[in-house]
This record gives sequence, C-alpha cells and structure tokens, in this order.
Amino acid sequence: MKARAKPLPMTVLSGFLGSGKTTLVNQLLRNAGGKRLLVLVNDFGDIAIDEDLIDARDGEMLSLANGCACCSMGSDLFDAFDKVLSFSPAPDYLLIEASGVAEPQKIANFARAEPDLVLNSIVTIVDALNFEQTSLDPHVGALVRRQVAAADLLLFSKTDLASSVQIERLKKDLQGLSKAPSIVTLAGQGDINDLVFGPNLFESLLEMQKDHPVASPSHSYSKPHSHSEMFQSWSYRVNGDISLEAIKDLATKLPSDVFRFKGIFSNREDGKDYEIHRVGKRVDFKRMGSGGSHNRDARFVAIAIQNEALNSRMMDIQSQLNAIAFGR
Amino acid sequence: MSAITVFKAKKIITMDPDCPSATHVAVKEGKILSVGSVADMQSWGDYQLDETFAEKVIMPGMVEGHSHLMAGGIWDYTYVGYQDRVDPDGKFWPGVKTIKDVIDRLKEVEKTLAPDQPLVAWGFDPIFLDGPRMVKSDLDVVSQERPIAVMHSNFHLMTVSSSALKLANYVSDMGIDGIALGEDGTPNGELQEMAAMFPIMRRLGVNWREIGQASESVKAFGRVCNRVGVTSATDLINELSEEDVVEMTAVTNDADYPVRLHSMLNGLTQTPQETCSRALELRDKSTDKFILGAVKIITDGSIQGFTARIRWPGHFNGAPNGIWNIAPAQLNDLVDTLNAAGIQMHIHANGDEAIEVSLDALEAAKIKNNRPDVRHVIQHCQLADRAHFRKMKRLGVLANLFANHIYYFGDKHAALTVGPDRARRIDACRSALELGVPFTIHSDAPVTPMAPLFTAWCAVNRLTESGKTLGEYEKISVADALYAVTLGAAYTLQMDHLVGSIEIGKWADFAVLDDDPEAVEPLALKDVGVWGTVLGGRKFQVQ
Repeated sequence: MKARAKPLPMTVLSGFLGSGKTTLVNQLLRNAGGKRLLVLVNDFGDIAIDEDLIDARDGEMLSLANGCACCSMGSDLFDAFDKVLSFSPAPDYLLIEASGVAEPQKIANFARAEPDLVLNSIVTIVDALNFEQTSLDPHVGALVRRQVAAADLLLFSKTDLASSVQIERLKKDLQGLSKAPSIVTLAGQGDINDLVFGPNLFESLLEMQKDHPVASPSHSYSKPHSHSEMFQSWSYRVNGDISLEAIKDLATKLPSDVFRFKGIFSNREDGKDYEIHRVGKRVDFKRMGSGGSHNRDARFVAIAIQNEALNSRMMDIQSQLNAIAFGR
Repeated sequence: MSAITVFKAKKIITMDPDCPSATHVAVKEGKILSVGSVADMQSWGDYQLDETFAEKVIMPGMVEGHSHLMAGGIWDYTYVGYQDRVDPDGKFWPGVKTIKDVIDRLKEVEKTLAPDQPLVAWGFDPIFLDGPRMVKSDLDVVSQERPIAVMHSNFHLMTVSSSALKLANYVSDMGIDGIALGEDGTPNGELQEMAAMFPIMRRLGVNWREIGQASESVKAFGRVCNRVGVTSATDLINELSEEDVVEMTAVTNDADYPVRLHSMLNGLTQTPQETCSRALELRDKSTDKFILGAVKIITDGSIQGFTARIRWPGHFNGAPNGIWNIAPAQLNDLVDTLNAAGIQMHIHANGDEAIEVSLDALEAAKIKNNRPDVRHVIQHCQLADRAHFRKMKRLGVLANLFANHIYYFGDKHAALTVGPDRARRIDACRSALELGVPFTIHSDAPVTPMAPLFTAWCAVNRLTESGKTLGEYEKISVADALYAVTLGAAYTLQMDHLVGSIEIGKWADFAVLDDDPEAVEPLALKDVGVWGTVLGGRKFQVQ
C-alpha cells in the first residue's frame, strides 16, 4: 500500500438516470484548469465521457461496475479505490460519478473512513423536468428522494425545459427533503468547478500559514475573501488548543448557507492535530497523520453562497473561536 | 492397453429414463461409450475393467449452478464459523461455539505466522454465540502487536484488534457510519459495511479480487468442488479481463484440474453494447473445461441483509425496502440488447419486486426478439410466487433456487425478514416443478458451503437450523432433488447435451458416492459420503 502525503478530496456526483451527470463531468473536465481530476465512473448510460477531454486535459478516468457500495461483496469497488489511491501521478481531486441507483452517502462513507481520502461533498443533480414523476415511481421513487436528502449541494438540470411553475413546485417539494443550498441555473455557470470542488480550502489554510509563519501568542485574525460572483469565503486564525466538542458545536451551528467549513487545530483533550470539515449539515473529524503540524495556530475557512446578510454573522465567528481556544 | 475403460459399480444412477440404473459404464476418449450391464459392454471390443467403484455408487457428476471462486481462496484465511466445515485440502474445521473457541483458534494460528503477517479470519457469526459480542479487547489477548481482523460470515461486518484500528487511525469517535463504538466512546473493533472495512483491509493487504481470481484460488476452488462430487461449477461473476482469461484457461485446461468451470461476465461494468461484444468474444475462447459467454446481472441485494427489493407489504420487521444495483429502465435496455444477440443471462433477483422487474424486462425483450436458442435464468429467485413461476413458464425462463437458505436463514426469514407466511414459499421448488419451470438449486458458495447433496437435502426436507419445517408443501422428492443438482443445473448452463446425465456421447463426468442417495432415508441424504469424481473418464479421488 502506498500512503498519500495528504488526503485526496473526493466528491460524489449523484443523480438519477438522465439527470445530466455525464454532461457535468465533461464540463468539469473541460474547466479543470491544470488540476488533475480523476473521474471514477460508476454509471454506464448512453452518453459517454468525452474521450477528447480525457486525453487533452488533466483528467483521468477509471471505471467501476454499476452497483451499490453497500451490498456487493465489493471486490470491484475495493479494487477501484485501491487503484485510485495508488494512482500515479497522484490526482488533485477524485470525482465519483455514482450510478443512477446508488445511495451516494454509502459511497461517501469510503472517504469518511479512509485516512487517505477526505470527503469534499455529495452533489446531487435534480432533473427539473422529470424529478417529480420519477419520485412517484414505485420502484425508484424513494431512492431518488434519498439521493436528494443525502446531498450537500443540489444542482438543477433541464431548467430551460421545465416551466417556472414546475420549478417553484419542485423547489418547495425539495425543501422538505433537504436543507442543502441549491443552484437553479446550472446551465452556463462559469465557475462550476469551484462550486463542485470548492476552492482548495487546504491551500487557503497553508496560504495563511505563509502570511504568518510563526505563531504569536496574542495573534488572531479573520478576513473575508471574495472568490467569485457566486460565493464568498472567510478565514480565521486563532492561537491555542481547542476542544473537539466545542468546535463541533460551533461548526454544527453555522448558518445553513455555509456549505463548507474546514479547519486544522490541536485537540485540547489529547494534544493531537485534527482536521474538521463541515459540508452541508455534516461535520467530520480526522486525526492528521505525522507531518501535518500546523505550528499550533488553529486555522479555519468557511465558504458560502453569496449573501450580503451573512457577512456580519461570519465575522462574528472569530470571537466565538477566540472564546473556545485555550492559549498555550 | 485398450482405449476403452469400463467402470463397474454397485449401482449407476443415470438420470436417463431409458436406463435409469446400470452396473457398468464404458468410457472412451473422455466420453461415455456404453451404459448398462456387463453384457452391454462387450460389443465395442477390448476394454480394461476398472473395479475401483465396485462397492460404490456412481451418479452423474453434480453441477453447482451458483457459486463463486472465492469459495476456494477464502481458505487462505482462518475459519472461525459456527458450523463445522472441511477446507479444500480436507482438513476438518470444527465450528466455534464460544468467543473463547475463536480466541483459542486464533492463538494457535498466530504462532505459525511470519512476524509481519497480519492474522485474518473469516466465517464468524455472532448471532450463534451467547454472551456479549466479541470486541477488540478479546482479540488483543491473541496479540498486542499483530493486527487481527475477523470477517463475519456475511462479509458485511468485521471485528478487528486495537492494533488494526490504529493502522487506519480509528482511535476516537469520528462520527463515521459503520465504525461501532464501545461504552468508553472509542471504536470497539466492530466495523460495518465495506466503506468502514476498506481502510483496514487495504492496510492488511486483504484484496477481494485476489481472493477470487488468483491461480491458487482457482485451484483451491477445484478441490472444493471435487470434495462434494461436483464436476461442473459456476464462477458466477467475474470481470474476465484478458489477462485473467489467459491465466484461468491455463489452470483449468491442466489435465489435473478436476472441474469444468463456467465463468460469467459481470454485465454491469460496461455499456450494454460493450458487454454484448465482450460476451461474444469470450464465447469463442471457451474450451471443454472453461466455458465463457454468459453474462451475470445483479438487480437487488440479499434478503438476510434487508437489501432485497420486496413488494408490498415489505419487510416483516418494518425495515425499509432494499436496493437496486441497476435501475429498472437500464435493466430493460441491457436485457433487450443481450437477448437480441443471443447471449445467456443469469439475473440475480432475490426479492419478489426484483423478480417481477426482471421478468418484465425479459418479457419485453422476448416480444421483440424470439431467441429459442437461448435460455435465461433467474438466480436465487427466492421470493417468487406462483404467478411468477407461471410467467416464467410462459416466457421459457429458468430458475435457480437458493435451497440452502431454508436451513441457514429460514428461521430469520420467518422471524424478521418476510415473516412466517411468506417464508413458506421461499425457494419454492415444488411450485417450480408443478408449474413447469425447469430449475436447479444452489449454495452460492462461499455464502453457504458447496455440497449439492446437502442442497438437495434442504429442498427435500425444508428444515431450518432450529429444526422447524419451512413450507411443507414446497418439499420435493429425493429423485427430483437429485435431478435438480445434475441435469436440472446442466440445463440452466445450456450444457444438458454434454453433462448432467450418464448417457452415450456425453462427457464421462461422474460423482462417486459411498451410498445410494436414492435408497438412504431422505433425512440422511446430506450424510452420503463422497469418494470423489470422474472427469472426462479420469478419476479424482478426494485427497
């Protein structure tokens, strides 16, 4: 087994047959912008991944048999993850195009459990034209609703084909299933890659370290960034150790518009370094391997869909962090 | 030396109604030349009389219609299951009855391992053991340093030691599904489902694919078959990469390899069109002992795992409906494409909803393209009702029923999964027989142990592990059960013209038994001893 220097961020792309997953994968490959994107395809529909994109850009593709991660003895899935993790040169992102009948959270669990992977997000595409009908299907209705419920981010497809009444009704229906932020106009989004993968938050954290290579006991700061027209982010730095429970509580209570929150900190209880991630409503922890030392300053980044009202609430997070940090 | 060998036996069960039993069978060029009495043997000229089986009973080599190569390779690991088992090399492994038994066995094996080798065991089943569940501290007693992983019998759970947990950084509560916690809030060693097990298995170098497909596994699988009188067996899902096909062809074509292996291509790895071309390509690579060209399609999960697709009123204990591995619309497309090309499909469908969806897909495909040359099979077909069997008859679709389930999981089906009433019709052999659906019965080894006489015993007696009868009406006769594990299975593999009965012109593939399965008490059917097999006229005594 070859261990990775840092965990590979994994995004699960879910959505029923014909919702436009492959179209989105092609779009993401086209806009990879120098990042090496490894696509694991678990679905074999009519539209294939555009081979030209795989050759010409930085993407690579592996295939995985259709099927549910939870039930087969999993030799194929096992093999696929093994290949992904020993892939050379190492990719920057892993994107799994889940099968139309997959339970995305079960695939996502691989990234949550495997130290060499980190779950970026579950993105579910909702077919605005057909979702309503599919959700009533006796064989797959419950499943497509679960795909929505599991999502950290919902993208609507075929909005140009659906009526505005239909879209409004759908949005209302989905609110009962999911608290995830939803993007209605998928067509023509320029920065779709940032949206799906998130700007590289880990890099942002390292950036912060560059600004302040030496931790100073009194130093802490927060600052807002503007990434694009679509979303904004804030970064925070605080000196001291933090208890796992306190930061978990803080992360859980962040506004629902915040669809990503990430940080690295020393755990007050065991003195070890941890990463925390919140994507959608889900908060995960991972103990960092050796070499992940961060000079003892805890650092955090949050990202949300553009919303003016959010800024003051997010700036206030700094004082909340200061309150739960114990200086050393 | 004559080219003709005549085997003399106490009795030869032929499955041929023209000559249902005989005392002599002549073999030439690996095929059956003559069947009958010693007088019948004379007409073909000189022969060598082989009296090895003079006190034995010969029946057609049995055919396992649903098994996996993993049944061989899994024995690389230590068996810690509740039931007694015999490994491919004939070693008897008594079932473990307590956690202490498990620990004692692991301690013994631990002594024999190289310093850097992990200790991996399989077959563990906590539901049969009284007292608290096994946790990491139990395993830590075996070794503090060496990582230990105990796979449960259903392959969905494992229990590992503290040192194994550390490998994957499973040291505190990280809120991850499938990592069970103890009273102290830290992982207790039990891991549920592949996602949580993967990081440990990866770090211990336990690779599923290799368990199934390496040459040594294929060889071990052959020994598993030989021990139970099986001469044709299925490897019922395989990616069949070119590299593996070359390797498996070499292993199976060795004259010492004791079984004809049918490998089925996984139909869910490529587009229907690609699967279709690959299956046709593979068909042409078939040899007499490595038969390719059919496709496996998995629709739902398992009943005992609550992942089968069940119709209204759903699971008896209220668990949510199971999962699809392929959407019904995609299944229609795939089935249509493969049927049109004349490719045989083995469609895994356990629950009645999955069976219904599969039959609908087959019906639509058959309306479009009549292919009388190909017979499709519903594999497991466990919850089929009589209307399903009538429809199967109408469509010319065959059934492979999972009779071993009655014994191993029958009590659970009555109590939890489908309730006592629907459990009566689980693996309904008599309904299939009455309604004219050709069928066989299977073990799904290694899910349950391969042993067709035991599988036949299950179909005949329908007794559960606790000794209850599950569905009196669905019992079949010994003769029908023996037919199911020979010619019935051969028919589902489209090989009934070559194997499954002792008839002139067929391959000389026999099972050699110590007793007459037609004469013993039906309750003793599973205890009939197996001397070994004959494959293409060559003797393979169980080692």
